[in-house]
Amino acid sequence: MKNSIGSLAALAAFAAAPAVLQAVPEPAIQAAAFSNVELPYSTPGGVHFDIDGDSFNDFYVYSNGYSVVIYTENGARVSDGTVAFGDSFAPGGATTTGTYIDSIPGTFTTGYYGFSVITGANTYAAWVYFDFTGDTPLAVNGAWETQAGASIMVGAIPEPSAAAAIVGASALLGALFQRRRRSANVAGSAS
Amino acid sequence: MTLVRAIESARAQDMRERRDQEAPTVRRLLPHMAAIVERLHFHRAAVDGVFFAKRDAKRRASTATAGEAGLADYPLGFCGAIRDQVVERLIADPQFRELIGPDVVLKKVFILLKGVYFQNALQLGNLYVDVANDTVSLDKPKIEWLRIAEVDYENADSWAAVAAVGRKYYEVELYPNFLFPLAFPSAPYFAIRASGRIDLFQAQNVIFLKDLGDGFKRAHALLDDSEFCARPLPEPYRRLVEEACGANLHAAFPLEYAPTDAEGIRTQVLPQFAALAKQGDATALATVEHYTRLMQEATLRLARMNLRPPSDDAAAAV
Repeated sequence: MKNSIGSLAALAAFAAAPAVLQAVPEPAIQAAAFSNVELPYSTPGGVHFDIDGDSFNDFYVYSNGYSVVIYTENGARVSDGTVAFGDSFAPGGATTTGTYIDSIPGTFTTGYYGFSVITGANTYAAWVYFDFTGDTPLAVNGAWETQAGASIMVGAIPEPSAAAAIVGASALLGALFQRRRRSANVAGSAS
Repeated sequence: MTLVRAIESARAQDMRERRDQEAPTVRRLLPHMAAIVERLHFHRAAVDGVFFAKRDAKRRASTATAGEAGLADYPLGFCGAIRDQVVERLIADPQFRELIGPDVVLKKVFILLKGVYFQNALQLGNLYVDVANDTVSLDKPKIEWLRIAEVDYENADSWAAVAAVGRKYYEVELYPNFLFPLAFPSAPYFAIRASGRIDLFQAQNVIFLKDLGDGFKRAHALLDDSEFCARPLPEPYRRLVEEACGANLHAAFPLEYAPTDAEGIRTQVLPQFAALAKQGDATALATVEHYTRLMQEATLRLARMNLRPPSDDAAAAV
């Protein structure tokens, strides 16, 4: 367990530590722990989400019956608007503490938002996919990049095992292709 | 960005009348103030529109703590965010640039106003301009401007002055931070709020960055203040902080809990920072950037811990 920092020398060593961690291969992308979470319009206080699993919520979706808004928590930031599937999203692209998804009734159908989330002293890129086409809006899924400061491909989902990751490039592309095909079947476009 | 530039950017946030700005102020700004103020209102309204769209979605009662801005209370507490966004728009506005001409200075300033307020404002030539004048009291007009000579202010140049304003502005009691020594150059105080919660007290890194370029004379001055040193953190709070952070587990809290005193800060902590200047600019800047991020994280984490003793202990302690 890493000790708290008590000197500038320790701070420098801590800042340099990620170079050592990179020598140990591990998946770069982790899936968020939630899937298909309903976002009822009348939920008091909003529905909260922890993207990176560090026990600190990163954002909540709030609706008052007039509009649907994302508000970030615990130092996280969200993109000021949707981001495109397949784009490379950097933590710096998340610039705001709140963003307006849609009015009620509105026109938003499906779309991705980019996030930057904080764990310890580091910032990580993440995305979350929303689907408002059903009876109840959903936060469908999300993922975050485990390398601090690195960009994440919007919509990329990690394979379930390291072995699969070796041959998973084609499978991953196949999964992404399926998502793209599913999105294309939904009428309208993200706001 | 270099370390020297970072230090200079902190110093540049002081507001001062300048001899070379007097002629452009008199000849260029004052005759056109109506048009200039109109452009300031235009951009302020645009910034308001962005925040209103978010605020209107919020329908809960305000539970804001003094000094902590809640979106539901916009624009109260949003002077920094409003000022920064208006400045971005002004810089990109050709109509405004033509109004003020090429010789007029436009810069952000951070000052202590009337001994009561932390103020994020603008210096325009030799004028003080506040584009967020209604962020403490909604009854005030949004835009205010004055000749700098007419403003009751001082620059943020000592911890004692910042602390005096902090006590009133944030409604807190301040005590020396001798528990997290590494934090002292940036956060030499603990703040105990009216709610009883204990926080680290910072000043937008302005004092820290200035001190980095001045041999930490401000930190030394604070350590030489016997009144400051003789006011220890009340025992219930010291115990709370020790229980929460004393195990020195980085995952729980990033700063080392290592109780010390003024002499320990003076002889063991400040020399580390003073030695940064000898390390070369790139290394020193990286260390400063890591340090300010660490301090931001630590401040946030301590606030999230929401440490406060039972109400009887808190009332007796402060």
